[in-house]
Amino acid sequence: MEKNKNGHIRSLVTLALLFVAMLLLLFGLHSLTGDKIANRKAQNMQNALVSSYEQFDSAEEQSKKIHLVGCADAVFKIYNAEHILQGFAVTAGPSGVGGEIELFVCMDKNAKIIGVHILSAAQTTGISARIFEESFLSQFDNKSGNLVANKDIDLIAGATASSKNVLRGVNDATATCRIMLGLEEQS
Amino acid sequence: MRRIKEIFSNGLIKHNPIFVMLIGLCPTLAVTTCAVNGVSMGIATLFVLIISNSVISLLCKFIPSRIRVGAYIIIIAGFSTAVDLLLQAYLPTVSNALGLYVPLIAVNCLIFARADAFASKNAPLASLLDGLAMGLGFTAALTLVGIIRELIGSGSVFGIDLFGRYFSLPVFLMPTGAFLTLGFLLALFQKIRAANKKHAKGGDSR
Repeated sequence: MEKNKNGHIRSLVTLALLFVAMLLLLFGLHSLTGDKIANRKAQNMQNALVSSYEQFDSAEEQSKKIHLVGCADAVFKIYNAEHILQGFAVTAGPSGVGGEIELFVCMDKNAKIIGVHILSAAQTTGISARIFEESFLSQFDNKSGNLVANKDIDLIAGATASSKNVLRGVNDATATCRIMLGLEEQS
Repeated sequence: MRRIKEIFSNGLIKHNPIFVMLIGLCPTLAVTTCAVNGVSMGIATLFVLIISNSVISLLCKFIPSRIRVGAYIIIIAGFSTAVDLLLQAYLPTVSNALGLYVPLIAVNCLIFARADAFASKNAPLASLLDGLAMGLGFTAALTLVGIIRELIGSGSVFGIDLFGRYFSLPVFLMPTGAFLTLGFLLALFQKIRAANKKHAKGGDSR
């Protein structure tokens, strides 16, 4: 009986020690890589802004309370070197197949899309990765308002769910911007 | 030396994880839309296999038999998460391409099978070599499937355009193509093995 009890305690202690050792390893690795991962995301946003706005200089997050539609996360005002407004950029996170897609939708002053960028996407691999392709994302350029699948935007065969999620994210981002500018009523 | 040769021949050919043991098929079918993805997934799995095999072999004397499954899962999941973090930080393109299959290395039955069947019964060095051999066998199989799918599906190999848009069957980039490719490769591998066995038997009888 006593031997059995000792065996249970030994098992528990072993599992707990292994668990703590792994936690410490991951904590160490996270502190080593965390900043790098965050910086990479910031760099991706910066690259997206530079490629979308000819005169990009700075981006300021909209601090005033605004109505965020659906999966839209935040709105940024984009300025040039003379601090003249160039447009708006909205981040959105529609849930995709296997995880969230981080979208960055760049618009001009009238909420017309000038660039859609995918910052990251934990999608199923393979054909779903085609949502990153320029041929798909460039379809959104110069469009505004609520976009309709297979009318305004051609979805990708074999990656229908993923491309629909991107479209949903873009529509939420443009709706947020249009409501903010008073071009659309809040529903 | 003979032992090392045996470990490598088992991992690469005799007990190849994909073509003989048919384990770890989920990432094999899912990520091999191109050769680069196959190599990347193979190397990520190879890394986890080597480390987890070595650590489990070192610790197996201290792990009571009744909790060995839980203990192995903690170790393997820990190292898989470590690989995921490292890929996100240093190889973001690969991390994006492999998607959720990187954290899923934790539940790859190849890693658990080698931990229980080999690492827990052998010395750390032999376990490390077994992880290396099995990982290389897995990587080779994934790369081969990736090369064939990319060649037929996109007309390129490792991103180098060979036939352009004049020759591509996109169905090979879809799950159907993965099953077809793996099926043909399995048949071919078995045919070669059977022929070799027959040849060896013929040699013995002479």
